[in-house]
Amino acid sequence: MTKNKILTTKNVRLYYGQKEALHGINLSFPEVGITALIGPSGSGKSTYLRSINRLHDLDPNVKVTGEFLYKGKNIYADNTDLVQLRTNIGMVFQQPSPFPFSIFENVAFGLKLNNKIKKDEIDERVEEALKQAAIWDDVKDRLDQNALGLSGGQQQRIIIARSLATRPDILLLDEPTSALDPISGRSVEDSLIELGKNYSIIIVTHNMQQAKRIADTTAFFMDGNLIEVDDTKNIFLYPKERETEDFVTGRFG
Amino acid sequence: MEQNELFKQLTKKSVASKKDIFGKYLSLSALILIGITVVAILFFVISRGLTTFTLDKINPFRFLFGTDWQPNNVDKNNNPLVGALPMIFGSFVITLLSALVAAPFAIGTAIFMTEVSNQRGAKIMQSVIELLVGIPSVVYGFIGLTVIVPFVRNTFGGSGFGILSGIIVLFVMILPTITSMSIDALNNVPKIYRESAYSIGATPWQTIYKVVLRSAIPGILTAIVFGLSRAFGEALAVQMVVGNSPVIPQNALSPAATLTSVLTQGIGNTTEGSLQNDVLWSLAMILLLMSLVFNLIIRKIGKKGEMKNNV
Repeated sequence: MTKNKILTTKNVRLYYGQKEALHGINLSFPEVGITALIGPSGSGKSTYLRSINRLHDLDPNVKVTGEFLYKGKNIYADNTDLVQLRTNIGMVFQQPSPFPFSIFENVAFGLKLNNKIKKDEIDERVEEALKQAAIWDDVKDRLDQNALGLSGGQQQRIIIARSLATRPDILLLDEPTSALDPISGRSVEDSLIELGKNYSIIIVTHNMQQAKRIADTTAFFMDGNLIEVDDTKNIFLYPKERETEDFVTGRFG
Repeated sequence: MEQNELFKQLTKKSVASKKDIFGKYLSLSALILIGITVVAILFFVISRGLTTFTLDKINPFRFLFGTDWQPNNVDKNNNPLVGALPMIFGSFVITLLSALVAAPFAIGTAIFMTEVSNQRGAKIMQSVIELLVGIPSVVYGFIGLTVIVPFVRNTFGGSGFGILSGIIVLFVMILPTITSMSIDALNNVPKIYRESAYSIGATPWQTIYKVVLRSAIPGILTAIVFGLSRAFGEALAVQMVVGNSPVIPQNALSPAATLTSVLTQGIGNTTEGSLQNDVLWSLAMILLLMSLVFNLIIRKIGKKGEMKNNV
């Protein structure tokens, strides 16, 4: 079973100062496919997601313990190269946040950090990433324009392309459509469904319909605990735990 | 009957709305007062400044580009020697060079305070900068006179009074201005830009210079122009160290004069209505117009930055 898992986390605990916010999460993710993390606000799902590419390192008050085995290697080992890690595990945030640069520069950003890549290859990989994010046709004629001139949904797909350009294995998304209107949100979802065929995608979402529509597997978080994880269909139709049932049927949350 | 009462009640102004109107007129009158003051200053300086060219019949071209400044003397064609170019040149050279030197230090300090140091370090630096802003310019001039001038004299030769000393003093004076405004500019860069850059694999330093600095360019440029404008208008400290010799400087050590230094020196020593007094007003007019230009530049950059950063 662990063979085709790309990432396995064991007994993940996270502390804000003295306060424990995650109480021992055991969860693993397949090499391809979409895993949705759902749960009420403050359940720890975003916190958990951000720990996967060590974004909590930016905050000196946060301490993370437990094992994160990415292809068998512990992410939190002292000798982990954060640059390489974050190249392999990309992250997309809730707020569409292109840099105030051109579309091309945004997508090429991660590639240009590593100055070994030749210009031709950068061009190629920008195109590849934009096609994967299903935004190429929208922007191919205006790559030199400022990315802030695009619509919210387009911006978010540019961000996804920006993460894909470095060819990651895992893509983390923190409520990527909650700041978008429904139509833009759908366009991002469609891109994600396509990407789920080739990448391991982990998405935090408040929108249960979205989890139903796009996720293969769904994990339900509450109060810093992982309550239940199963095929998305089972979570919504045949939940095993009482809390999960209450949540997915809308009795709270 | 009852309806009438209700009508009365509704049409009578309540105390709250009376206070509202009073407040409105109070702030409006403050605005008008300031407006009148600004217009009056502009009118006064410009009308007096133009007297040189209308009443005294000085050729504006010769005034702006002449290099001989001896308002008490005339040349052999009986034209007064009032070429203002040495001061205009001096003002621009000293201002631009001091801002050019100060900008990298200011930006470096700002980056340290916003991106690198911990909160305690930043707080200490913040109070240091606020202290520097608060020091009166005469104190800066005095330190320049007693420390910088001898230092320049002993290190590079010459009298010590001159362009270089002026640049050093102004550099220290505008450093805090540019720094604190650059800090604001950097702090205005959304946190999400930093997180995004990190999450793509940028190192902290790459994040700073490829994303944060670049996004803050409009704000930092505004800071530099503010510094320029402060340096351009500074009079006292410059006058104390610059040598006050209204000639085009030959090198960085030669004594020079600026628009402001000539003004502060001369305005008390001339009779009102005389040519010598009128030309000083013309210098003041140039200063005023330059300040307006600086303000316009700041507005323009600010607008551009707004358009770029409206996330």
